Amino acid sequence: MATGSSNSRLEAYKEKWGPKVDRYKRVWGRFAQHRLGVIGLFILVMYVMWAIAPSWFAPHSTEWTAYLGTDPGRMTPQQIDSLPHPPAFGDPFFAPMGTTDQGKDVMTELVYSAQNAMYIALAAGLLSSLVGVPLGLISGYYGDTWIDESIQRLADITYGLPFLPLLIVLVAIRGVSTTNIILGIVVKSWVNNCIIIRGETLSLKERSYVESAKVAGASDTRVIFRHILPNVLPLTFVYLAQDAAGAILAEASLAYLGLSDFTAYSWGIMLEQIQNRGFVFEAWWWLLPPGIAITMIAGAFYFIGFSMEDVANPQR
Amino acid sequence: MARISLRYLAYRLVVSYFVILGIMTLAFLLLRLMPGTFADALVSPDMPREAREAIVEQYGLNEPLWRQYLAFMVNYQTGQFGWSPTYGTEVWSLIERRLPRTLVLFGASFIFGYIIGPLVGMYLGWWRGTKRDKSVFAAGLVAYSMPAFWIAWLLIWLFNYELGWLPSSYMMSQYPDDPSLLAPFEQWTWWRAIVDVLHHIALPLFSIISVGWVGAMLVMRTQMNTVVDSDYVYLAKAKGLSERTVMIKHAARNALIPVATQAIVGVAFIIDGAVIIEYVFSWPGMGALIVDTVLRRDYPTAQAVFFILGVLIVVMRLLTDIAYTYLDPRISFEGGE
Amino acid sequence: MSDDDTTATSSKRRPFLKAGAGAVAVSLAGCTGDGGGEGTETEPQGTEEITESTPGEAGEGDVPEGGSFRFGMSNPPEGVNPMATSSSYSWTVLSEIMGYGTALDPVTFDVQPSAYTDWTVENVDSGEPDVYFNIREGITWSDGEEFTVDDVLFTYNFIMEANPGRYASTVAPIETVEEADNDWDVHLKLANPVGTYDSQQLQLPLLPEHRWSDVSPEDFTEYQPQENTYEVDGQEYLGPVGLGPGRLSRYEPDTSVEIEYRDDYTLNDLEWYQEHENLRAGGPFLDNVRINIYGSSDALQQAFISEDAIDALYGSVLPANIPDVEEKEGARIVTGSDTGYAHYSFEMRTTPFDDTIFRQAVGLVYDHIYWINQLNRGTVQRGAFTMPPGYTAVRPETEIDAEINEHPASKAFDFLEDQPGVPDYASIKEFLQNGVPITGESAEGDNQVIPGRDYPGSMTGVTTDDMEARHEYTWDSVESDILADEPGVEEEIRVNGETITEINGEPLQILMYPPQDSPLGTQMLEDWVSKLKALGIPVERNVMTFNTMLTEVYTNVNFGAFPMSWTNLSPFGAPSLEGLFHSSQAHGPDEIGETDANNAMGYGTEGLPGADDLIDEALQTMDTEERNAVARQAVEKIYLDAPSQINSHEIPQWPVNEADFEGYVGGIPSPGDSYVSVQFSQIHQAE
Repeated sequence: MATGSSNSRLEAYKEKWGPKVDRYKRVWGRFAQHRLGVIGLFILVMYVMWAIAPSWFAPHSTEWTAYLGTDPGRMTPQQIDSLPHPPAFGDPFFAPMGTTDQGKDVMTELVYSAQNAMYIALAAGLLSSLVGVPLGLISGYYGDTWIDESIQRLADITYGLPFLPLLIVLVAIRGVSTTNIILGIVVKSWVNNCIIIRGETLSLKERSYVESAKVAGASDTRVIFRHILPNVLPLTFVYLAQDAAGAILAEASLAYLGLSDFTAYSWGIMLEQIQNRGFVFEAWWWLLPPGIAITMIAGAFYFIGFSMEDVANPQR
Repeated sequence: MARISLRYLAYRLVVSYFVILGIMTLAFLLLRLMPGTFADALVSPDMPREAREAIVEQYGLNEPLWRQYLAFMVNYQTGQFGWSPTYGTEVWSLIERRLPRTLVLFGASFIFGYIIGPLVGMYLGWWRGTKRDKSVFAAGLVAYSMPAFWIAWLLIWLFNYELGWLPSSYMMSQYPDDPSLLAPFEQWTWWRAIVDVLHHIALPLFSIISVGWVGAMLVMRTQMNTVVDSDYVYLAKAKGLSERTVMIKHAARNALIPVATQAIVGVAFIIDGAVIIEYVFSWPGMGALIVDTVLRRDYPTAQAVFFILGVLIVVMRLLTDIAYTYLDPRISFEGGE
Repeated sequence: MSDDDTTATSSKRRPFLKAGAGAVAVSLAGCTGDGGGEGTETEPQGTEEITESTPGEAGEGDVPEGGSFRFGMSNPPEGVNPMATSSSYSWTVLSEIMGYGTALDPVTFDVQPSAYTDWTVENVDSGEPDVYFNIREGITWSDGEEFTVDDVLFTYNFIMEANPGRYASTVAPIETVEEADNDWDVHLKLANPVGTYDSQQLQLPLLPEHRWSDVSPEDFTEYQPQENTYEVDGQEYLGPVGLGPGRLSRYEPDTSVEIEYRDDYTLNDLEWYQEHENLRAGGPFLDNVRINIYGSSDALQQAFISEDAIDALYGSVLPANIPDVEEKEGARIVTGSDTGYAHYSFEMRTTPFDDTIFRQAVGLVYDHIYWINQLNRGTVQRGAFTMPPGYTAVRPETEIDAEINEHPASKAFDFLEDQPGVPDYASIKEFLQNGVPITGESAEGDNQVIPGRDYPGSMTGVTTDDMEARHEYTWDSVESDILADEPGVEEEIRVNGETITEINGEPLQILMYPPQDSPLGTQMLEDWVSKLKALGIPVERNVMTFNTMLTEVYTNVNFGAFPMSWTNLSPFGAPSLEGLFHSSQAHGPDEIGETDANNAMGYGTEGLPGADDLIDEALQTMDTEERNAVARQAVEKIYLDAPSQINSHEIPQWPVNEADFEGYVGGIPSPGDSYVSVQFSQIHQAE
């Protein structure tokens, strides 16, 4: 999309890139027809900005505490009793979404958590594609051989282990850290990618241009990666978006069960804390924002994913 | 009309069996890779070291891993799940009590999800592109994006904490004389039990369904969309059949087949939802059991739950596969035209 | 109870419950049985201070009988086999069913008669004492069978043969048990003196021979008593059978357990009970207790606060929900004291945790005011000694009649504050540089060893083993990576000229858990770690789950410091001190990684300070007064040697329904969990 500005530079360059740029423009045009997708993209852009420069958007720094600000000191018992404090706009302090039971600003935590969410979503989504897509391609290309068979049985086995309990076990083995949570999610989520891509590959490899490439003596690797992969790529983006959404929700569930890296700022952790400290029904200003934030980012990925599916796979 | 040869069936059965073996092996290895054992949880100032070691020995935790593995593979396949150190009962008796409860909650959510989902999907797919389609579709995706436990909290907050209408835990009243809304049913025990369970299941069920219907809806909507433009729908319309008849009798029926395949994904999805929902609502089922026993390193029980859920998933998968082959759309189309 | 440091919370803290107890006996005299032959005392004990929990019944009349008390727990009982389970949830149920030879007074911690009427010990000087006791006649098991000497002999033999973990250390010193050949009923031969034999060897749960004789001592853990039912008056009950007040009438461990009380229970009606100022004799007054099991602790709290589904819950209400309980009509909070402590313990084989002065110094940057007031909102109290404040007999303050938790000798290592929330780093550095620890000798005024803090000398006269520092401490430029990243840290500590990272190859490892095990503890640790770093000490947080930490600490000894809590310590001190701080409970040189040990700190092992001598002496002293005096010394020595830094003791906040029930006992240890059976024996319907 950003390449749009470059096509005025050189003719040769234009000749080479022009068609591609046009194609992107067409794709974008189709995508833009889906208002949901655009909304999703908009939400995502907002979160990306939060992730890149949280201090611009957060009302306070993470060191800030109600009543005390960033200075050391102690709250009075009355001040402690007033926490978690409902939204306040200047009196006695500024906390537009209220504070937690320890006097931390909810809005600040919300903004600083975007980074973690984006990291989990993108890393888990990309990794599942990186594992699932090649396996799906290979499995489909060598359909009904022992290679296909073994990959499919591996998928079956992974399928038979319930996701969340499996994730709990994996996180327990490797220790509670964001990276390990991502790896744990990928252990299971590659399967969907693999099965879908395999199905696509099975039908693609019967197409004439693949057949002719084979006849022309192209190696298997070349056929898979030059001829089949580009055709399944749009589909992989669809599933990448869905995996990203799934990863966010999985992290939230893990956090709810107390298996998440609490030193990170994360919406799941915020919800876990409100439960852990017994304020679920006491402080709506603390309960609602993280849940809405999770819903919005997962929703954004789904919106984008389903809009892309239409783009990749126009049915009308 | 036997479309499935016995050979194919036998092949699938054998493969499924080996998949189950694979699941068991993986579950065993992963559980053993977790640091710590349930014996650790028994550390207490009045328990001397020797006593803790005795427990380790009693459960065979100091035997070589391969022997534990062999014992596990043989015993579990013959239904001998052994003894749960954390619950102090036989594992089987735990499962016996808890599996039906999970099946009730999970079965009900599954049925509701797969009635509501395809119905909505059918309408949306048929009227694709309309305002109604777009808004319901978006609403579905939003529901799909909410953390299950968070929805559950909101529901508890509203219906239990604020309004006090619905209970937030258990599957039924604990004692027959518990005060409840059941006074009118004093006499008819069966009615009483059913109403009581319905009263208790309402919130957890609603929590799962509010997410669970979306998966089926999405597939149905996409499928409807492909059949909407197909020849036989045009044909049916040309015959002068009403829009409604065509949608339901011709289009939807054919679109249902992929939905049935998607249901297998749905099973896994709802099991995952059930794990969390059971936890939130103190629903004493398998989901809560597996989380609990994994966290407490109760290997015998955790292995058993993994085993049973694994078998459940593999069997469901096998059944849908067979059903799918039977229902192959191309064949039924031929008959229709 | 002192509240200097703990901001008085707004909870309705009650003075100790005192009701006119003796009066009850008048009307209940009919069911006292033989009362142990001690005669039934029918004189009212005088009207004591009456609290609102027994309004309007100042010493007169009886209390209403009957009613069903609904109790909630967040975890299921792990079986009801008294030989196989150590779960406190199981024992909440089992305490109502099982009976014991002796009883522990929950208020004074005196050992009192129960199923045994009297006992004595002879031949102490020989080193192998003989214990004799008589059993009470005329009492019955819950299935109606008579209780006999044979049952007692069977119980001891069974437990000695089966050797279940929970009782292994109790039966270990018993050599033989037999029918006595003198005037007494039973004779126990001990292999060594056990000072607390009356609360240990005489307090095993008694087993009826007619029900346990079929159980093999080898496979006793697989015995499921609840499947072994019995009938009384045409009604079916579930095993086990015991001498206690209750019968198990329903056992669905995932959801609910019901205990029905017997009408013919007399052991709460003995003379000591009737004379008791704080307990009402003749209970339990309830028909039954129904225990509901919830899947999570928030469900449990909600069941009490918003659903009125239970009348009380196991443990405490969360600090967050205290205001809800206070505002709730007909509910209040019963407070009590802790039976243990929360601590950080140090790996004493790691430099510089091997040095007493260093272990003392890290406590000076631990902001306990933040921990108590801000994080816990006053639901915990300051910690210093390994015995909780409620165990006064074994607290060093008792030695000099000082107020518990108030004496400056218990505040030597408290947070050394410069301004609110900021430690006085300069003074702490000076303390370490000077190299003189708090030894137990007076260090006041000009002799202060910690600048700005007076220490009057130990209360029991003990001193540390390390009279001076083992290492030399200096400060220099920051070298360790972990400190270099930390803003505002300008100097790093040197131990004998080297950084700690150089010496150990890594910073000091401080373990911590994910927050679900200890949500506030993790936050406190963050604060402590940042202050340790500001002092120039390279420390690294190491996050692990509770189970992982147990293995890392108690098996692999792979830590610098770790947080944990102990509860249910023995009110007699010595048995718990042995279990936690004796060198016999530490790893031997080749045992690390091979076996578990409670004393993971290595306290008392080769080359390190220890309190073995005092603990051993306390264990073997038969005289209660003398034993307590020695235990107090051991407790204070452990404080000075600082293998563990005691952070706090809980102030339990037990929420109860006061609209429908009365008679709750406050001020006792763990009123809503470990000692909840006391409550069940006292609670009665409101009039």
